Amino acid sequence: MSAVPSTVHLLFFYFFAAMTIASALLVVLLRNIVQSAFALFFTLFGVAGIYILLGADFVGVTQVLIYIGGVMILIVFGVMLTHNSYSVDIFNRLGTLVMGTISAIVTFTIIYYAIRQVPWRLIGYKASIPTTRPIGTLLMTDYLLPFELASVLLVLAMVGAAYLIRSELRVGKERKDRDKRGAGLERKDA
Amino acid sequence: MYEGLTYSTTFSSILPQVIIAAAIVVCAMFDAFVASKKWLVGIIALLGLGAGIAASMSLWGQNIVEFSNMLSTNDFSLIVSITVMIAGIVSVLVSLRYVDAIDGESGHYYLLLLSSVLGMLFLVSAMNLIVLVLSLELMSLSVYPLVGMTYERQASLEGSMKYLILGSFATAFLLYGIALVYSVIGTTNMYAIARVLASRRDLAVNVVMMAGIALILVGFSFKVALVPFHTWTPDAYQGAPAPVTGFMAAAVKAASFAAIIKLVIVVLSSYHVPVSGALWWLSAVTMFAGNIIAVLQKNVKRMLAYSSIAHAGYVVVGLVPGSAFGMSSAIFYLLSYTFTVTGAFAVITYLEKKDGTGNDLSDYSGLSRSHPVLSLIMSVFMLSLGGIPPTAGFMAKFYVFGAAIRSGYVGLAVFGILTSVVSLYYYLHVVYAMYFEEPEHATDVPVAVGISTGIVIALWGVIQLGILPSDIMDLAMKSVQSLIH
Repeated sequence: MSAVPSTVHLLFFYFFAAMTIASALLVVLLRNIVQSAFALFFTLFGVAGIYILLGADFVGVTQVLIYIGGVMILIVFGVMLTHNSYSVDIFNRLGTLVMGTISAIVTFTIIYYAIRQVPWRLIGYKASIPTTRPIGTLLMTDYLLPFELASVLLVLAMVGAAYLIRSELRVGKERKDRDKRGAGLERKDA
Repeated sequence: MYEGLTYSTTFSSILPQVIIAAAIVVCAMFDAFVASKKWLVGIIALLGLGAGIAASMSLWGQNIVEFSNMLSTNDFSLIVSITVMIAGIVSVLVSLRYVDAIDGESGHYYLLLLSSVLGMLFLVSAMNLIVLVLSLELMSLSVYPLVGMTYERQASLEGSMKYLILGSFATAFLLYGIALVYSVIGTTNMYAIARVLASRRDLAVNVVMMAGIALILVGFSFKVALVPFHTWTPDAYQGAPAPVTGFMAAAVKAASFAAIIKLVIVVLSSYHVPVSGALWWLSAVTMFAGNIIAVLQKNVKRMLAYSSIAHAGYVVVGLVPGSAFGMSSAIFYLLSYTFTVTGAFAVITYLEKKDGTGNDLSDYSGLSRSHPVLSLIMSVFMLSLGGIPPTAGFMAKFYVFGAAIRSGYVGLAVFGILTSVVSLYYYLHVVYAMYFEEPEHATDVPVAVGISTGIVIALWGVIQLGILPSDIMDLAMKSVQSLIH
């Protein structure tokens, strides 16, 4: 354990940090929503890299699996399947730009100030030890209740989504029936 | 190698939760395998809730901490659990006809209602911030689809969508706040956080700690709709079917407030930065804005949505002093508001039509001619909301303002009394319309046993709390004592 990170460590950190910030800027500044979505890939990947550098290997891999593997794919599919998404100009109003810049600067100042102010507890740079086993053990012992609650939560989210979609299907069917009846009447009139 | 994997606990302390979870499974099975008679699912839900209340009563007086100090079953958690389960029973009773009419082919309605109750039961007994967030989400996530249940109406979906998006924002704020608190203190256990807060004075000037506590307060203010975090409420309350609105105004609000009360008693009372200043402003602005905007409303449901915002302000008045009496008065207020508002929305369900109309003030004019009993009952609920004796609403306001005055917050109490005088205008407007205006069209609603039973339960609560409040107030005092270690 040493108090100062190694040069390689630092190099990787700056690489991932630059990647995160640059691609995040692209997400906001690009005019095409599909390009923005692809830039978001690199933002999330950079964050995963920083997690791993911090010794949180499990969180880093989860970030890759869930955000890059799942959420990002969904976003890209959603964007591509949406009608006319290529031609939508999402970067159109000057007011949004000004307000966005101001709030970004204010937020950054607050966070920067807070980080500098607080006496953080430094634990030094340890050689990274795999965290998967302790996390798994904790999930099955001390954190069993939240773990189970999260499962219930996921099941209920699914039931809720199914509930909403089912009523949509039903309404669609009723409307089709009505249209069919309407068409039949017209034919009779003719 | 796996010696860490030993886990021993007794499940008796979470018996109510286990019963509700079992009822959810039975409801789901019944719904999947029986094609017709979906109202039977509602009966199963009623039985589950009844058994849950009985189990909660059997645990009364005990103080059990279980699951690695994550859940604490005590009088406080039990009194709120019983309240939300009573609200659940009334909501199911009121829904029996409504769900058949709107959504006859699905028993999922009751399933979602029960799972929301399950979330509330965990929420009120959670002693760990992780469990707190998960159960809060379980509660909210089950209600979002219920708001958008009547798919035919644009308003219903719009309300559901707004509720979902702003509710998720609220959770994000809450999580951010909890993460900041954890980064400073290093634990998510509420009693452990309180111990650290009490022993370290330097945390009073710690920016991250302050930001964390502030974000947690903002998150909860969203959930209970305090001004200026209330913008989702009117649309969600108006768009949702009347029984769901009643459930949201009563049970969801009571459970979220219970979480706030628990946080204030257990954690924030040890914090060297007094939060009562922030609560003072939140309550004053909420009482003012809620009541003033409610005066302008022509739709009874929307009016009650703003009234519900205003009532959240009155509950916070009880929290401002930070005294045990103030906390008990807030709990009493929640109980009285639960009974009153479920009853009021039960009456609204009677009159609401399938397409969501029938809620305007003009629909209530001359109601006393065709439905004298219903009008009388609605008048009682309106008087209780306005705080007129001998109803529950009067005693609740009396205790809350009494607690504020006793601790020297006379200005806030006087301001609250003034706003509640303003609120009388719109509550009595409904009564006036029912008794002294000519009916615009004939109203004829068939008698429904379920809704009538629900109304009777709510009416009993309103009268009981109004005439014999001291018994319930004693219970509220005991429940607050059970939280103080």
